Amino acid sequence: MNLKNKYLLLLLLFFVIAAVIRINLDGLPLTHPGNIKAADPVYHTTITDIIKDTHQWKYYPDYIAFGIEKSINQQPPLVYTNAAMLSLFSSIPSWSTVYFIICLMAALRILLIYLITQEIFKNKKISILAAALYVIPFKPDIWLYETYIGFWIQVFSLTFLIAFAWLFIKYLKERTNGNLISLSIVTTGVIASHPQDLLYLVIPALYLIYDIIKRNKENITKVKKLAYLGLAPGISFLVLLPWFLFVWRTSQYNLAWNSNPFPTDYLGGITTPGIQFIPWFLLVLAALGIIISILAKSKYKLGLLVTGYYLFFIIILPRFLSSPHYLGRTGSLLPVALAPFMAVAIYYIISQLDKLTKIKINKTITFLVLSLLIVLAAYPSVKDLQNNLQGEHIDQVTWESYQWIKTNTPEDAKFFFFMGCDQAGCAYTERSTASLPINEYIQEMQTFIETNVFKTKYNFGWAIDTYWDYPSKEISRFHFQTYDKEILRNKHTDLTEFEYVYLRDFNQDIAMVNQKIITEGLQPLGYQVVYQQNGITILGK
Amino acid sequence: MKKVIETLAISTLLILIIGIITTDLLTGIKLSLAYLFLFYLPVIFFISLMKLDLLERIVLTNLAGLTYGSIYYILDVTLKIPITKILFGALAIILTILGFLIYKKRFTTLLKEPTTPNQ
Repeated sequence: MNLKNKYLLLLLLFFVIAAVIRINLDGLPLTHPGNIKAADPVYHTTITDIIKDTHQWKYYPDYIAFGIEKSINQQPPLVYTNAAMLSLFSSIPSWSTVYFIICLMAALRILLIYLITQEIFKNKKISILAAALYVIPFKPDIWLYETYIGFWIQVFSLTFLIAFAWLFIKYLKERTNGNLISLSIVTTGVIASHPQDLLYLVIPALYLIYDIIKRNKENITKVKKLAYLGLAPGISFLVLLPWFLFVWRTSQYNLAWNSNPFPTDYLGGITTPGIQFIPWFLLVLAALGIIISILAKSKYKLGLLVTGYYLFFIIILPRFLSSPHYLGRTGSLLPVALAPFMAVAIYYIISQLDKLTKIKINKTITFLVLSLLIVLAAYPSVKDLQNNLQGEHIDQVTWESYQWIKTNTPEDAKFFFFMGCDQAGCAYTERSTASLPINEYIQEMQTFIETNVFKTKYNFGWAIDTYWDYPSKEISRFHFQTYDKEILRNKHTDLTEFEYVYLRDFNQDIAMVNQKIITEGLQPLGYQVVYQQNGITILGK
Repeated sequence: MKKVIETLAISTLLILIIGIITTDLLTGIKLSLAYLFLFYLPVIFFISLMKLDLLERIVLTNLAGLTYGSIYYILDVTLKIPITKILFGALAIILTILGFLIYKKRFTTLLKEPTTPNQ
């Protein structure tokens, strides 16, 4: 076996380890969506199911649209289409195929780090070390949050952005048509998976256009090369133009001074991970690597330029934007951006030690073993995280009741969930679902027990509330109209407007309260028990 | 053709291994075969036309395989064509055949190109 294959084999092993670790955090259950740990993944998997069930992506189904015709799907299409395809052909449920694809994309970054580091430093030992550093990033609870809870579609687009960085450097060195076509592939990927991230590509894309025009004398060559670069992303962009103009425009980045762009109080800051979460010893290594690279600036200037460009977007630019939320999420790429420099520093230290001690060591074996040790050293922390993620928001019992609802109730039926709808999970019923948040439930039921007066008017929460962030409906193909989210939110205000009520006995005290709700509250209003299993009761009119 | 087979074999094997470790043998096989059919075959011949080494081909095949799905929302939005399992399957087959024909033509042409006596 030659040397090249040793590196390739180890790299592919790292890819498998990275994918397996990420997937195993939540798992790929085939029986019920136990791997759905928060509201966002619920949204991602339901959009996939919508494509599978309705054979289209453009419009929301009625349980989300609430009677508004041609209500536009605000979620970008690519991830969901791919997951729907994979689900249909493998018979594996969507909650597992979406997660599988997302984790594979996250793991693909290992290979991309290697390729980028190779392009910059032309040194396989540094490249394999850099890749090893990201297989299990130190503090996986922070850096793998994007997959195990997640901003899943952004994991997808950020991987495309890393690929863009690699191909951009490659293009500046080779300037081939293949480079341009590859750049067009990854740009299209960003447009169709998470369009907000296009912001990062504006300046490099303009530079590429300038470079093509400047370097080619014949007009036909210019046109050809511009087509290689821009045709596929251009078509994708034009098709989604109404979304850019009417649906996503409310998420524009407006200029304004922002002294605290990414507040870290929410969940400890892991939704907008920053440099403060990188262990100090790795930061020291990264700083050393950057200094070494700066000292050899003519050699490594492209790498420094690309890294500096990225750091500008996540550290400096957010201070000048009123709502830089999505830029904050891009902070999750910090370990990717800094890994090559950490690896350079480690390489430099080992080379210096080698010179000082004058001990003859096989450098290739040293670096291959060191790479493996880095991965092994981080493993215990990922095991801890895995243990902490054992709980399920949608367990088997809940899932069975949702399946019963999907099979036995009309598609336009409205459901009221007492005791909240944990992390939007009841969207999985594919029915219009309102709920009473748990704290209000406790308050209201205490009053009910004390007064014996059963109230039917509540402040409802809606499981699919987030789908209405950019509420738009289609008037004609190029004319969309925004509608008021509050109209949907206040469409129903009284419990009696719901055909079904859903109760769950989480403990004996709640079971007693639920029994009182059923006998003294709901049955006098004409509701009868239609489903009662494993502590879950559904009443229908 | 060696480039194509090498890339397909390694990429699919990786999915198979990951699928088996994270689920079970049958699910792993289903996942890897579906991945091969839907994401790798439709793009592999096009990617193999480029001058890339094996690792670069594996990465780009994965990225391109997940990007060509953009065609479906274009068909949905502009032509209102229902995006069904049949459409997914048909387009995957058409792209694979198209890619194969272009790849074959390209390399047949290269082989037929006249060579100088010194070569």
